[in-house]
Amino acid sequence: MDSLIRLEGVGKSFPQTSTTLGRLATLAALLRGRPLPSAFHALTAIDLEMRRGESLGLIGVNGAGKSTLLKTIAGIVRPTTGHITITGRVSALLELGAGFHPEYTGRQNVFLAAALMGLSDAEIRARLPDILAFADIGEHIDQPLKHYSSGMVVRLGFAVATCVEPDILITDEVLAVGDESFQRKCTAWMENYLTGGGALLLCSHSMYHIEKLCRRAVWIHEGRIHAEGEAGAVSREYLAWHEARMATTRAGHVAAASGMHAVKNLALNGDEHGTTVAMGSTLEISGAIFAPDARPPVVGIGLLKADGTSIYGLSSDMDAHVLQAADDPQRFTFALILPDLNLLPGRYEIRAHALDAEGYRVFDEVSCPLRVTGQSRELGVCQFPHYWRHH
Amino acid sequence: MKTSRREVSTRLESTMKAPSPFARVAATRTLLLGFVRRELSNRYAGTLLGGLWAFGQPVLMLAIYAFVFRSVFKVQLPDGNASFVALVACALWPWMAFQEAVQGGTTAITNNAELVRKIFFPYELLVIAAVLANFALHFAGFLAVLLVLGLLGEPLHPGGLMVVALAWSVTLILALGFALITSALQVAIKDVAPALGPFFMLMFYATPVLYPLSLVPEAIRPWMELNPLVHIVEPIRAALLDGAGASALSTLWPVAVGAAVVLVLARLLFRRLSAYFQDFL
Repeated sequence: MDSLIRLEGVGKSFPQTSTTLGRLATLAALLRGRPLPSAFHALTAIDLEMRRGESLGLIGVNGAGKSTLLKTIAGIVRPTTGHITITGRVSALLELGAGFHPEYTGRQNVFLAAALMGLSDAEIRARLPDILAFADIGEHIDQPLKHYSSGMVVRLGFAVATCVEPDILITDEVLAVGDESFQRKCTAWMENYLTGGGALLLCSHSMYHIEKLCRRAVWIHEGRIHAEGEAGAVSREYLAWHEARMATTRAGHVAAASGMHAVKNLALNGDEHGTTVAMGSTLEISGAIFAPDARPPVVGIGLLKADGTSIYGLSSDMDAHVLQAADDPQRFTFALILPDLNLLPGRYEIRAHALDAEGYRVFDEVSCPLRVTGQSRELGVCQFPHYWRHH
Repeated sequence: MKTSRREVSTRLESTMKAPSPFARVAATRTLLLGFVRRELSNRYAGTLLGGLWAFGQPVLMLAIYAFVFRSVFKVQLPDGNASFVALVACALWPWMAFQEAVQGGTTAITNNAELVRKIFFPYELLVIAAVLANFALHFAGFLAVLLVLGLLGEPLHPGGLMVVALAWSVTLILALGFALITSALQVAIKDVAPALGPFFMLMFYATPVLYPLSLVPEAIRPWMELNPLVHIVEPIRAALLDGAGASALSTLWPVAVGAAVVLVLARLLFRRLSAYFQDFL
């Protein structure tokens, strides 16, 4: 079959290298061709297959082994057990701008970065106009990279990656960077690449990107495949599990203490226990987000039916709204006003998500019940503006 | 299930697969040249004199040795018409190239840990680039010094340049071999690089750089001849200073064979260890 990547029983355990003695023992075992003394099992018995034109998402919490798996497939990490068979040209984008040097100009960096991806001088020269057009940084290309903004570095990095035309593209959290227009460009490129028969292995904390770009998803947990299947189903399962885990964590406010973004409170019309509003009246969703890095976080607000079906969702960055810090520099407040709430009478739920400043990692979620009252015989969830006309 | 060696090598090749073998070679060459260029520009970025610094240090050393041994100790060389300066110059530049190439190559992987952690490419290119950069600088310096000595009236034999080129090539192969070994070991054990300082200081005096081998007592000479650099430095002198190029070649070829063997073994070791760089870095 058209199998591009096939992993059979792949396992990786890292040897003890934190102490000098451990390093010596590991080196001795390596030199004598003995099995390495294992200190940490990063991956266990991973079976995976990717075919041409397929897109696979990798999800899991930090430290679950996703990055090790990507590095194993990319050839950077040698597996301890199992077989890996790869047919085709792999391009691994584990970090945009890896291999860039701050003292060099953008143009010089393009050449070295593209060479690192396996392109020759002639090939790079031929693709340079495309790269420059994609990066879209104008005459800055001949300035040293240290004068670039982080967004420009990312654009240049992605532009180089797009020129390789790989059979398999492996990426780790690199999609959701840069400004919105560039993100759209990247996503458009990805979609185009996928329709063109490229295979994508995407590791991301953003369920949005996983569901948008991947048909299948694999949930890695503690170095093993925990669940595998259709991307939407796996990511929902993962989110549900993650939510439950966060809920237990939140009880002791460990989330905030451990330096994670968190929703500190959520109130509907000023009431933390939820509220009852009349149909057509104004709803104010307010609260505070804890941001350990003291940069304005992004808040995501979701409106759901009581059974969990989502109705509407938005985040502060979509409207370019920047949250203001309260008296505590790590505490940011928000207030979202929904005038003329057109929800039909019934029970609903409002959810608030805490995202980091870039708006791509969801860290926390808090919900609040909402009841809408009113007299209406209309069906569905919300009322549309409408009128009738005689013909 | 254990990963077989064959399985893994297939995988590594396919990762770097380019449309044709020719394109692959071209891509590797581009990357190597890129690394060499980076090595050179990193070292002298922002300096006024740039690569001249690589020339300045051995010239200064040469001047100091000439002063100490000729003007202070008043050393008399036994035979030949070559000056002390020419004698030392013939050995000093190959020596500097070898020492700095091995030392630079040793830290080539650890200094680029960020790159090695994030991108898969033939990591040995980093080491080769460090070695090549040092050799390019010092070989240019060597030719410049020969030119100056020639202009100053030193009786050099231009016919010896063939031997010079060959001897430098052997030195390069030897340095590549050593650097591949030390760079791979340096990833696992950080003591390798600092140990090289005293090692090279010892080797500097154990190699006939400041003196001809003929001055060494007969009893010690067989021991000294275990040092491969002896058989590189002496032929260069014989060819350039005495015009004895033909006989110089006969002592050079066993070292060439030995250096090639070292390089092959070093690559095997590097390949074995480089698959696990990630575990150490």
